Amino acid sequence: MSTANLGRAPLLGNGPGSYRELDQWTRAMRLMADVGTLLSSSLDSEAVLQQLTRLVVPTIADWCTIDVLDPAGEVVRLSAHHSDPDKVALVLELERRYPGNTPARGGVARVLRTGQTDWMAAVPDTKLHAAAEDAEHLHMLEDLGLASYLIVPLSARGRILGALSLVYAASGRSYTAEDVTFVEELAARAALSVDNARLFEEQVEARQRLERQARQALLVGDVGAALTRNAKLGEGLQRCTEALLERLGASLAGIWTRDTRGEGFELCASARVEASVAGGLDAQALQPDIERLAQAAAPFFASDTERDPTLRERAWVRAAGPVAFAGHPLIIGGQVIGVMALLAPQPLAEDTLTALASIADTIAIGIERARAEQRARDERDTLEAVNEVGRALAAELDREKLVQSITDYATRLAGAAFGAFFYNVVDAAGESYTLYTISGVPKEAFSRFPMPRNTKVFAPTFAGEGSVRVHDIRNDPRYGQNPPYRGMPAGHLPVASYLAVPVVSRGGAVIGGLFFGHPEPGVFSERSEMLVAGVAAQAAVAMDNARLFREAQKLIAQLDESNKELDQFAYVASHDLKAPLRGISTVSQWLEEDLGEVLTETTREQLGLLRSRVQRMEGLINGILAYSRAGRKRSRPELVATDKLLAEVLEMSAGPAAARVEIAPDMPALCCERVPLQQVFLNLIGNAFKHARRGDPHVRVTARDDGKDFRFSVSDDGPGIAPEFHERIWGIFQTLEPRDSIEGTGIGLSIVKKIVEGKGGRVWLESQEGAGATFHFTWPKAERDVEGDIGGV
Amino acid sequence: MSERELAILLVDDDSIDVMNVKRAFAKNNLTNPIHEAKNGIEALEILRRGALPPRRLVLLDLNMPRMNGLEFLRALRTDPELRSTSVVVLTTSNEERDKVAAYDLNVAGYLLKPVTFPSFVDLMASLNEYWTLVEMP
Repeated sequence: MSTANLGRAPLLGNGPGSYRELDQWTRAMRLMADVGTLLSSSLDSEAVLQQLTRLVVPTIADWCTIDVLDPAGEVVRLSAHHSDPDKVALVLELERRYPGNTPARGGVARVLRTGQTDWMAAVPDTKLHAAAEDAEHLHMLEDLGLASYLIVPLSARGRILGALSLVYAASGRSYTAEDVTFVEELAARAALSVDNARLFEEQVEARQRLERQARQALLVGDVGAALTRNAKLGEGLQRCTEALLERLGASLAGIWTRDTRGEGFELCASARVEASVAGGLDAQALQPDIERLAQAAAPFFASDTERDPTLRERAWVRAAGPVAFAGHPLIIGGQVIGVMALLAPQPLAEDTLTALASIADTIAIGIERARAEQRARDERDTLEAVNEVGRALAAELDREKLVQSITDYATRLAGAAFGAFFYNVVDAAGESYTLYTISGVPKEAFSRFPMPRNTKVFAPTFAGEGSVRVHDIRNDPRYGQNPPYRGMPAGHLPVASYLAVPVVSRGGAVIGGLFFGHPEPGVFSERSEMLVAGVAAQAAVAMDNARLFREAQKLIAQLDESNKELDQFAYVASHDLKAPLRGISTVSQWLEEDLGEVLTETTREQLGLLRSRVQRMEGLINGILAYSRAGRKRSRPELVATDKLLAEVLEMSAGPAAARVEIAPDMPALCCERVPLQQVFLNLIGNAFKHARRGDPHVRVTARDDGKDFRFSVSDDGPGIAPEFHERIWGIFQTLEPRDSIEGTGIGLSIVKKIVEGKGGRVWLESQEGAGATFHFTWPKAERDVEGDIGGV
Repeated sequence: MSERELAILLVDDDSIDVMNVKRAFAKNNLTNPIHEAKNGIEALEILRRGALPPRRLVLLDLNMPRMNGLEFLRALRTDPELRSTSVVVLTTSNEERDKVAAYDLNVAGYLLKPVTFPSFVDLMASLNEYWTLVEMP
């Protein structure tokens, strides 16, 4: 229905009543204009519709109602008006008492359902009676009056928003078809306006939501950037708190992380808007609630702290005034590593809380990563420090310097004010320890009072029970219990932090202990303990090495000395022992010469015996000297071709002219000291010649590969040796024949044994009486070159 | 005694060894005068005393108390008066280092004791002949 129709005024002069019609039309137009003005005056739909009822009464109704559909689809009487002001309440009462059950009401339901206008020009009494539930109801209806009614839908854009019900009662008017058209138009405009308002509101809300989401996205972005771009965690977290202020409109924000002792939480970063009331607070004030929140490991929100039962008693709440509080734990791997909290002057929207949850994860990860990096850096630093110490210590073999270095390094690494190393040496009373080195203070500071006693404090370290780390030793119950001192002795260095680490050698013995102190408490952390333990381990190794080196040097010096003495002895012996022998021999010869005629066979024989004993003596002396020298004089190993070596040996040994010596064709070459090997062959082959019963002894020399060694064998076809003597023959001066009848002193085999065993080899005999003998010995294929000459030049 | 006869200074502390030398000379009917010294100090003193004629030979043992043979040789070679004296070492020491040291001090010979008696006699005879022929400063 277009307004064009409305514009057609009934022509004046259309007969009686036309003036009234005109008047009516004019009023209708005015009403329409007023409604138009009303509708465009406000976006508050409710208010507008309420005002609408006042407009239409009494112009086109005696009383009217507007019913709308609420979001749940329920019909709600939004507004009502009656020309008689007293009866307005009655209309509402009617609805209240008999909801949905008035003729007008029933009509409303239908109109709402169908969107079609429902009207009745004249309502018969019967209908009224029929609609009434009871006498009271009927009475009310009659009181209000229901002569004619018109219910039009309020619909816009195809949606039914509600219904406008108009009733003529006392005025006696009734609705006409033209009225219907008019009111429908009016209703349509009203509905459109209401719908526009709704749309507008929706748009506004949508835009607000978008704005919030945009801010939250920026917040997430800010947090991410803060944590990745800032090298230091503290700066990154500071940026995060600032972002909370900026993006969420908080007036105070803070982030707490676990403190270094791991006992509670400390404020790591915070930001506030100075001008705000909550900004007058220090984030520190929130500490107890933060702790509780961390304990609960769950987010906590209060949109009005003053009303929240758990918070409203707090002093800070009273100081801050009405604010919203939001706190979120920062959790990694199920552990609470921190808390994020903020105060805002406005309530926080639902999606804001979700955004907090997501950045909580990001921040938690950021903190954890920073911590992990720090740990890795610490590890690396520790390793480097310990390695540096190790390198320095490994090069030092002087014990004094070594121990001082150790103490200095360890004191530095521990971050101590002073440190000391005490050897684990206990005096007769079982009490003292020998102070050895000090670092950080001059030695006089310690010298003024006696050695640290075997107190309960030091004992565990020297017992090797592990490290001792005390936060503040002044408060430690173990300290200060030793008479005559009560507490810290006067003149003692001021110690609060205490760290002691035992130095344990590889064998498990406690060499000593490293002790560190600092006047401030809590200086030594787990890391310092670890570092010092690392140094102590290095120290133990270094000290062991220094000790071993010292001992080795001593031993070598002793050996040198001993060998020099032996050489001297040998030199002297060979002259001084032999000189008298020579004299005896010479004189006995002279006796024989000078007494020539007087000598009998017997006496001549006796003189002969005398001389032979002298010779024996000389032989024995030579034997001893040879034995003592054998294997002592070290020369450099060289490449020796044993076949050539044996050729030389044969030249040197004076065997019987008819002796046959067979040398195997595959005699090896080896890297060894030439002279000792030659000596062994010389003695064995010499023996074979010496003990041969025949004039043409047959001697065979062979070699065999024995893995790391060569096995050489010297066989002869001499008289052989019975098995029961196989052990005996190796002894010094052991012979199996009477001592006079052979030329040998019985030293040859002992020398062979000494030389071969000195090389780590074995020598043994295979022989049966009457069946010749084979001597076997092993010799390493490649001798190591011994540095220096152990036997002296 | 002819002027060309060699005087012998026998420096040895072993009396039997000394007797041996004398016996050898006697056996060979060698009449060279034999002077004796028990150690290097005595030997130097005898030489400096001028007890021996210029045509002389020192038979020197190495192993002696107070001043041994090598020490005597060193002292001899540093003494401008005595440095050209001929010395033959007569010793038990077969050590290379002794030989080297002796020749370093310009000995005219190095003989090992014990020498079997007959050959020792021959040796002395040869020495005498040799030195008889040799010019001396």
